[in-house]
Amino acid sequence: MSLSIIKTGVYCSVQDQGRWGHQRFGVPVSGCMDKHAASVANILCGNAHDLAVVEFVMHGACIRFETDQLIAFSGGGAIPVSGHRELLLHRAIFVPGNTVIDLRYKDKGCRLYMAVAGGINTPLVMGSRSTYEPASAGKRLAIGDELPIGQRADISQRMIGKKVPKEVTIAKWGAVELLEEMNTDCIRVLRGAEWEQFSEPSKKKWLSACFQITQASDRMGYTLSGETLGLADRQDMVSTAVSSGTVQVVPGGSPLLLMADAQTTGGYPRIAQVIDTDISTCAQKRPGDKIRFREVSDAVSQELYFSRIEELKRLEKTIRVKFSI
Amino acid sequence: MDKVRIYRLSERSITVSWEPGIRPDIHHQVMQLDKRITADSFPGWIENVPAYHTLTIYFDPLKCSPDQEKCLHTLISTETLSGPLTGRTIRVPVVYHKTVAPDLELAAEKLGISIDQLIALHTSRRYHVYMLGFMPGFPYLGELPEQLNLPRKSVPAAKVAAGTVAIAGRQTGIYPFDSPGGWYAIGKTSISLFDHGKAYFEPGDKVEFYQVNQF
Repeated sequence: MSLSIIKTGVYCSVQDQGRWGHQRFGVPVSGCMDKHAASVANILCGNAHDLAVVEFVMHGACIRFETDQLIAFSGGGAIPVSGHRELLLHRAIFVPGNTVIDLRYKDKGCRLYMAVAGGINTPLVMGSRSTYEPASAGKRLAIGDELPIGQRADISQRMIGKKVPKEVTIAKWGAVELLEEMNTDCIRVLRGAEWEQFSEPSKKKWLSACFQITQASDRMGYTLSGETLGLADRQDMVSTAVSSGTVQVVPGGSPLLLMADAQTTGGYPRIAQVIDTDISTCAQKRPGDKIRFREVSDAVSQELYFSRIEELKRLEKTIRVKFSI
Repeated sequence: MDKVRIYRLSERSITVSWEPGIRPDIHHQVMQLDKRITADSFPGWIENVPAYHTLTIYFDPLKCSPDQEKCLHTLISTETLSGPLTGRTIRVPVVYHKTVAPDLELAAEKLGISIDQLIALHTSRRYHVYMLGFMPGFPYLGELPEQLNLPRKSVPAAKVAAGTVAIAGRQTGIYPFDSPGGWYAIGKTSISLFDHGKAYFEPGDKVEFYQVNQF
């Protein structure tokens, strides 16, 4: 039971919901950049939401399934195609053995997630399958890599049905309504811990100007251009914990939005914290894309956090009912 | 407990912040709270990240009571965060020689001291591991003698070798892996700082450097 990588595209890696519990030793959480999309893809093919998936950056990758599998795609940045047939996002898809899938160009989004029923079953490193090369946790995927796949859950088996199809089969049901959010360019933020120390013009610019995601952007963080920001009075800061979503302002005045591979501590003033829900939106932005920031309250960010989890639970339940488990 | 600020870092984390600074007494309180929460954690607790003057507590908001912040306030105001901590003392062998430490001569020159004086000063103290960060296993050690205080390089070196002992400001540290770096490389150790998912140091440890001629 495996799939093989024929072409990698820009970058692809195995990721799950993150490597927690080792940040005090300087080990980043990592995991999927768009954790929501990965959860949706998992649930749609009958997996627990937190199993490991493959994260593809943009188009160009090509994969082959050696055996029959049930899969699902979510996220953006590429269109999965089998032969001449476009494979819809947010649907369970049955693929028979020897199926080849290409990821074709798409003008929106940045990261596509592919879940496979049973989960990608690479070895756990410090409790997670997320790739983080500096800590020798996995490796970026390369041509010829074969990925093991775990044991399918009963519900995935039921989705395939008793009569196993002979060709690629896309489920007629799905979770299409979950697709819209990533298209917004408005990112909601909380005030950062050093917000009060920024100059008034900087605070104003932060919440009104457009910022562009520069080429200096990767899984660790996005450097933003557009306006430079600064403190009211120059002062040195002592390093403290930072997390994905933290926006630090580096010397020179550029905002640096930390993403999944964020280092665990940082010493630059923090102007904002992107709310957890909108980190996924940021994960679907590519260099050149523009974003704006809008402040929300703690209460709103928490409400959104919980409602997103509810959304996933509802999806899980709907599928359970449909396949009566 | 005065001058303690508690703020949300994200939906999943809260930071307790003492007065900003690099001070053993404040870090002692950070480590006390760390120990206290680790020993008697609350539902949904995931991990703590100690830093110089802050302790950041990560949790799962689904499993954790919405009053968590209040509980922390109570904990900090009612507990006396003092008492002994059992940090280890770890001795670290260092080769201080220009063949393995490209900035040794430059650092001594900038500081206006001899290389021997630099080595004597660097090995003169027992340092405190304030935190690990920057990369897996990188220890932030303090505080360097005032005579070794050098601002970090304006242009970071493209590659600092794994095991490099370096200084910047009133801090010294060791690079676990080859990486770019802005600190002055003054020595090299053979210790492996991060191996098979394990960091060699922990926040709260004490470190003594001693000079060796070769590994």
